[in-house]
Amino acid sequence: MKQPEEKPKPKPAFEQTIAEALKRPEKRHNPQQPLSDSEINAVRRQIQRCWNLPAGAKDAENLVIEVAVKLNRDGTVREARVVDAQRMHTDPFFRTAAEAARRAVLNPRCNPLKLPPEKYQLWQQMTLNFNPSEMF
Amino acid sequence: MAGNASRWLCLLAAVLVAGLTAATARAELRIDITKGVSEPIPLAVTDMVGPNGEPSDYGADISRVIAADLERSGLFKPIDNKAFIQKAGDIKTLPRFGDWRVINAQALVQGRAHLVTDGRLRVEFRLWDVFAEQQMVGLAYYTIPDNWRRVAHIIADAIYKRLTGESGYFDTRIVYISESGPPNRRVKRLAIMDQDGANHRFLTDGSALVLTPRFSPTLQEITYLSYYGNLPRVYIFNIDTGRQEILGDFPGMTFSPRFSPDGKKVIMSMAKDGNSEIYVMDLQTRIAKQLTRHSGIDTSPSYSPDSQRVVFNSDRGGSQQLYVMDADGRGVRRISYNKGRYATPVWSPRGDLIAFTKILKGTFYIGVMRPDGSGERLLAKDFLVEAPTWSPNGRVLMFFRQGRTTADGKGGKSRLWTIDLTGHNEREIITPVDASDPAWSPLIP
Repeated sequence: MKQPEEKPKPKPAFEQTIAEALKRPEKRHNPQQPLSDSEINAVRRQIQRCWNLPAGAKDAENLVIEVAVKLNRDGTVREARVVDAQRMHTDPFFRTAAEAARRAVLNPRCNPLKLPPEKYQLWQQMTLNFNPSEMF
Repeated sequence: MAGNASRWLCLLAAVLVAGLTAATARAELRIDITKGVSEPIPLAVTDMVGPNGEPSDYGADISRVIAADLERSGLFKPIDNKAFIQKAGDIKTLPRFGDWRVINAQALVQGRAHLVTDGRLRVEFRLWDVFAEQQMVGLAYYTIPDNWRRVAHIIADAIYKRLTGESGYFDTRIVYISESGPPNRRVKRLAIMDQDGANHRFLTDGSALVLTPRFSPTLQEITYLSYYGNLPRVYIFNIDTGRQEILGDFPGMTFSPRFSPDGKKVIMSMAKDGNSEIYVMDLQTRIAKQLTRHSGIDTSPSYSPDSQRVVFNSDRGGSQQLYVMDADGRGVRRISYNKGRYATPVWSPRGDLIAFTKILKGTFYIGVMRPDGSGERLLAKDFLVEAPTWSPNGRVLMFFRQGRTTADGKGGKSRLWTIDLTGHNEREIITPVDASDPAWSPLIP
């Protein structure tokens, strides 16, 4: 015996309008498909080859580094900036880890990043989040 | 009416927030990087030049020692000079970073070394981040020319510190027991050398047996065990003056001494009536205090860097194991629980690990564990490996290794080795003859 399905309540007209309005800006600014998992994984693999963590560093597993990256259309790196610039000045261990992360991004052996040029809008800026906790 | 208006305002706000979020989400492509590699950093150390960019003999020698120090650490891979596109280059002009990127140099060391008018040697260096095209550190030193090796080690330490975030250990020395002669008439002398084996010299003449030297954290002094007059006693030896002094007037034999982290006390064992206990002696008042009271053999004490705890070796539980107690002797607890016997514990200068010798089924191991006994890792093994000593930054262990002697009496050489905490970078320290019981100094002040 099927349970009688509950009828969805009819939405008031203005709520529907708003719901569509909520979807619209993204559609308007992002006409292309988002980056696929395999495209993101390809970037991940490229950068991971150049991310060199100093062996045996104390508490290295707790140092998570965000690098804000600006890219040229050909996938080369225009700018790589450590987001927490302040901590670079106060914490030498953080600075070391941050510089290693930045080197991974800037290393010519690991860029240009292999990303689809037609989706440049989506990847011209990105944040790479270097988290070594899985490595220890 | 009022209700309706406020409802519209809320919705309008919702639309605005949603619009903002969408815009931020679009810009915020985030990718997690969770794996990396652990490889030596390729770097270029160019020969230091004279004041006008000309070749400098001191400069080339200093650069060679810097590159060798960095290479032996296992964390850096100096690039062969033959691959350099831009040759030495003066520090007055910016490096041609592109030329260094091509040969995959991630860091670049340039410098100048020359004698100045008062006869001193002036050495200046710069360390560059090749990818970021930024200077990472630049320093200058004056010294007497004979000190050029020390300046090279000091610069290598500065580079190591800037690139790893941790202090270096190149400007340090090693004391150890130099052994020569046949097994039944072995001559054991106290010897000292730089951490890279240079500037080797003997401190004692070999007339009395010496064992277990340990550096004072204030450097000029060593404590050790000597069988002077066939009575084993703990002595203190001043490297600069050559003066040797017996430590304390104990009723029994004293052995396995080690300085406290502040250098003001010596902790050691004393054996009396077949039992050995741990004592600590204040070097100023010369008052000794007994820390352990147990019928088992308690020996090889080593302080934690904060002086709050002591790790030691005891057979009180039936076999040789490691124990930790508070600095006043209270709160004794066993920390080693895996198979085998454990000996010669040494607390790391950075406090996070305890190094030890382990004996399991006839094989010796050098290993580390956390101070609570967890996370045991074995780093080196052989027929005989023993007596680990920490580099002052707690990243490298030195120990001695003796091979098996063959039936025809060959082999059995005893040599000093280093291994880093990864267990992958094992190096021999070249000594003139057989060597055992190394002790690593702190950084030379």
